[in-house]
Amino acid sequence: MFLPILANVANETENVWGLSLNVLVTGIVVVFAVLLLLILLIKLYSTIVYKAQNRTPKSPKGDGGNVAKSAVIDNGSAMALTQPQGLTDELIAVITAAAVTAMGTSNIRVTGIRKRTSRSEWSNAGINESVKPFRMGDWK
Amino acid sequence: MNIWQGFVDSLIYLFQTSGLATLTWQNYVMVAVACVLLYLAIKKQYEPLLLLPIAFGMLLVNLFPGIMGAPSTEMIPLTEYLASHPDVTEATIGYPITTLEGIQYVNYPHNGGLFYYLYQGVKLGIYPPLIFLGIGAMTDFGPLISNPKSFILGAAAQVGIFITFIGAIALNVFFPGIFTPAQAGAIGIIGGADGPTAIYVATKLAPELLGPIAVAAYSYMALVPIIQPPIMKALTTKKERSVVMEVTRPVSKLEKILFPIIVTIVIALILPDAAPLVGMLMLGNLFKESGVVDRIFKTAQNELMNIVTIFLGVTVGATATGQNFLKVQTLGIIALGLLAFCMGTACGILFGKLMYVVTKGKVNPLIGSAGVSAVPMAARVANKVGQQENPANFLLMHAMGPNVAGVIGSAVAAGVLLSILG
Repeated sequence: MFLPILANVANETENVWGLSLNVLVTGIVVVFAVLLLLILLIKLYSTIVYKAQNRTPKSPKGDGGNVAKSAVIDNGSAMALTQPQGLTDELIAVITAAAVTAMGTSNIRVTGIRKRTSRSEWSNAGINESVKPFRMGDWK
Repeated sequence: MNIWQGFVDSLIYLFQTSGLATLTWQNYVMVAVACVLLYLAIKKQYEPLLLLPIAFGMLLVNLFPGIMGAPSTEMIPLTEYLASHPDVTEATIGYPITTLEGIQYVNYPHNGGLFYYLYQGVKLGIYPPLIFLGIGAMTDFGPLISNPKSFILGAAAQVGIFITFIGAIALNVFFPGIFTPAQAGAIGIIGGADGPTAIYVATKLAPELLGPIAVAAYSYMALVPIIQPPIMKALTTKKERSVVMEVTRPVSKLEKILFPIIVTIVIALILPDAAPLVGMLMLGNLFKESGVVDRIFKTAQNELMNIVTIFLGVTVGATATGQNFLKVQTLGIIALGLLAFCMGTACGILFGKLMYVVTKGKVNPLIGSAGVSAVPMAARVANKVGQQENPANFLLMHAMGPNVAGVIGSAVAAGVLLSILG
């Protein structure tokens, strides 16, 4: 009498564990596969976009873009590097690295750093926009 | 004398229908729990935007259960109804009439409680995708696009979901029948550390467990700064935590616009069950990045998000009635939710360590912990723990990559669970 009941319980247990392992394996494999596929696609279209966008300014101007950008930096030469009022080596390195990163090229030379006494509204708006995604409290 | 008797009868009736006469001890326990959650939300500011409405919904429903009551129909004998409504005839009655054993009854409808109607947005799976729309409008996927390898960490942190699923099934060995596979899946998704995803999956797989699952998910998300650091420190060395990562490249506007479109196409094609969540997340992000729909972008991230958050919070809280919440199952859910969180964090960090080895020390394993979603809290925790070793180390932007990848990863994991167990 009890044997069929026990067999039934064993079958159900086997089914549940089979389903569980199925979920475990399928879940991990699918999540990794989908996200790996997204990695490949992002890399692919990033490369295409990068090449397409860098091709346009090259043909008529050559390296003119970088020259112009370095001119912008050069223009701000109110405080020369030889007058380190509050400027440390680390600060100069950080500002240079930021300029290199923002321009996406190492082919620039910082010849002057100007200290602004007050920040314009446009600068404030830019900083607010940049840090907005990381503010506390207003996400889920 | 009649006036006095009428007054006494009225007082008795008022007492009999008041909470003092109808509530059970479970309701009073839940009122106390709601007050503790209100304290945590207001005083400690633990996820106050959601914890406060959830706690207040819990408070209200346990004091006045009728606020969540479903609409009902009362059958009143026709003669009785006509006697109490002298200006109504059988022809103009306006309600269906049923005849039972030769007696005619009027099917008189009673409306449901306020929260019953608001809850339909949860029950029908409407609010979580709308919340995702707002999150998408707030999210900057730039760090993820500039370093797509972050996706691996976002995927690794989802392993905790599936391990917890197995854990919930295994509990049946000790407590037979405690969780069905569908309920185990709904509990496992707590490990995704993503409130809307947890609610969405729970409403589809185990609506009866929605209250405990939502409360556990949001409670653990609020406790990320307490839960994660010990695991992060236990699994990494001082040298690994001190790694300063290279600056990520700037991402162009075109790349940011293409991202939500490509992600939607890929995920909706492969995992249609995840399409409502991921699709709305990406729509919100496209509003932001396209720059051409400024008005609806602002509405999605502010007004709509806030309105839906209120409705979602109070109605999810209102599912936690004393009779539903105070069960052995709830204790199991709370324990398994913690396990899910810890496993997700640990798996993310272990994959971070793997990437540290593969890249010869260029990846700081701490950013793996941010793969559990919980945006942006988990990324801030990774940054903070990194700065404890090296105050000049800024991991925030690097951790945001796995963090937003975790949002997509948990939605994909939800899609898998729904397609197999749904």
